[in-house]
Amino acid sequence: MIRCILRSSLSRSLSAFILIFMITFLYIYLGTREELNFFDCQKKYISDKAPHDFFEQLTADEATARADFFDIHVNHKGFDDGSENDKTATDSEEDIPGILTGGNKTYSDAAVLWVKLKEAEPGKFADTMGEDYDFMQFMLSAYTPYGTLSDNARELIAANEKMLRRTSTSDKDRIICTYELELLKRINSSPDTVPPVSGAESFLNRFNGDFIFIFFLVLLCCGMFAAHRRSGYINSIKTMKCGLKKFVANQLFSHIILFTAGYLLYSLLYFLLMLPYLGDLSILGCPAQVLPQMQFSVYPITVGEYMLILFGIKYLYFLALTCLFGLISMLMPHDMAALAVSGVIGIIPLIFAVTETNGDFIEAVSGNAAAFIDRSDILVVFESAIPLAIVMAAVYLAAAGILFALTYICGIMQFCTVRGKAVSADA
Amino acid sequence: MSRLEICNITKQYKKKKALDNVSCTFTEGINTLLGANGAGKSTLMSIISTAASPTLGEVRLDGEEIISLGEKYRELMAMLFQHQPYFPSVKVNEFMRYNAQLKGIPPKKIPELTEKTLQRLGVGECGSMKMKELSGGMRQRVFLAQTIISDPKIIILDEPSAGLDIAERAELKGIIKELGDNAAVIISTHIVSDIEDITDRLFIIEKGRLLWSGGAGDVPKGDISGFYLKMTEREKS
Repeated sequence: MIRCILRSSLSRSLSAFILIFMITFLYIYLGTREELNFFDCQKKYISDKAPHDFFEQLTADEATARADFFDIHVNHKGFDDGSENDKTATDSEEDIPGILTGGNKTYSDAAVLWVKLKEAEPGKFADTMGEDYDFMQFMLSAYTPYGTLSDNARELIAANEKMLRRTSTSDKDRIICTYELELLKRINSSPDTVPPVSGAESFLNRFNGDFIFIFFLVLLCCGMFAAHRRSGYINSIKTMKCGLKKFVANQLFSHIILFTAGYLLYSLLYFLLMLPYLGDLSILGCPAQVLPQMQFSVYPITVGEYMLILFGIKYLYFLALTCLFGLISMLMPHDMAALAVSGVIGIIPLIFAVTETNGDFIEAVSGNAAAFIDRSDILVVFESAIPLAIVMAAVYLAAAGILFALTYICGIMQFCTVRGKAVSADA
Repeated sequence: MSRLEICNITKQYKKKKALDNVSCTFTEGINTLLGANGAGKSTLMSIISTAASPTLGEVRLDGEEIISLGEKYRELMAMLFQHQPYFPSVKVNEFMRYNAQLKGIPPKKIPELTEKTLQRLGVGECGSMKMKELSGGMRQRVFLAQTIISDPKIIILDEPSAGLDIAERAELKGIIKELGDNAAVIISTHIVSDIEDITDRLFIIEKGRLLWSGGAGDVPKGDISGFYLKMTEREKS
């Protein structure tokens, strides 16, 4: 029976997949190209540079933006009477904002305050120099994770030690620094390296909501119980040769097989399309922003293992959605109605993602678990995301079970009414 | 009254001695560092402002070494750079607020302080203008306003009149004179007319050495310009 169902659903799922693939390709191609054109600066970093050269370039560019922001280079020329090359190590450029402002602020402090003011009062504090600096700051913070784990650990250790040496560091910050140093000491140098892939990040971001795959699921599942609907509940129950339960289970099972095949193909395409941007297979497409958090993880996990877990969790999430869309298909009177309802439900995560609804929990319960997981760090994956994904799957399945039972009862009642009428007519 | 002592400061770069055993004392009022370009004025300013550290010697504020005072010293001191960084598209009020917050002034006090300080410097009506829309003189006043908003006791002004026309220079002189009433103002300049009539003390620097220091009243016939030329020519010969 499954073979029969599979055969009948295969053509539909294939056409759905081809459609989705075309949309995906156009979406990624146009979207990424637009994004890359928009960020001319970012474009510059898409190259086959070695990580070391990449960092050097990025750090130098960030320093230039910073200098423009604070006009530091001009001031230093004035300070040192043109003897810029003779500056000693004790002449700390890092102190300039402090001098400018009469406090003990660093560049980072000044930049953070600038961003906070800008965010608090949209439309104000708008300045090209500030924006350039913000962008470079963002670039640097976003791409630092692309170094090796041991490089990143070394940088973090140095930063924390510097904080502890500063007399102005508050007691609270000292506690945090000491704690972070303890954690950092646990890190063993790892062979995992991540290449400089700015394009890959925008590419990954495009997939955050995974709504393209959800769209495929909607198309695949909207007709899951089309045959069931055509014959009607009564007939299904009347012809109990294979049994309603078995019929439903087989339909679900066959669609799960198709969905799994689609998921594997989708993952493969996702990975293949990303290859030109990655240029290196070592990270298995890991969202690189998780790497800093992985450094703090007490779990002995590699990037590859992390990716497997991520793909596993996403699979569970899509599995739950398949059940939900199957249930909708069962309840709706027509395929188109099932498509519309499933589409609306499927698009909710996208709406949440677009409107940037805050709060991980809201995102998770609203169905945007994939995005939630993508952005989460490794600790969240272990401590929150897996239990949440399991709870969500359980909730979806329980809801499906209840609704299925209600439908079954309604069908029996309808059947009993029809039989009653038939008996009366016979009488 | 703040007393800033420069004690035997020497600043040696790899190839060049920018300051050679300089000692002097700055107190409340207008203190002028007079010297040609490259004389070592800016190096001394950078050491006073803690941007650079001396190779030898130390700077003391009321008897305490400034590096050990750390943040406390920075809170008492403010500096106006020769080329002050600013954001061209930002409005004056926003520029003031950003700088005031960086100085650690409580946000509630900032609007009142900003208005008061801008009024004091005669640019009260410029709050809603963009920085790039201001004339050179007005922008310099805004820079001065952000410098003094935290009511510093030591104000360092590096070539404050650079890029200003004659009328703007005259106006700036009056403002600087006022600042000296309750703070030690240290001005670095090579233009004598900028500080004539307003300076209380004079420090003539040439080739990294302090040639002369004393009150403005000690200058023979009060002719600072002639005296400065005489001193520098004597040094050259």
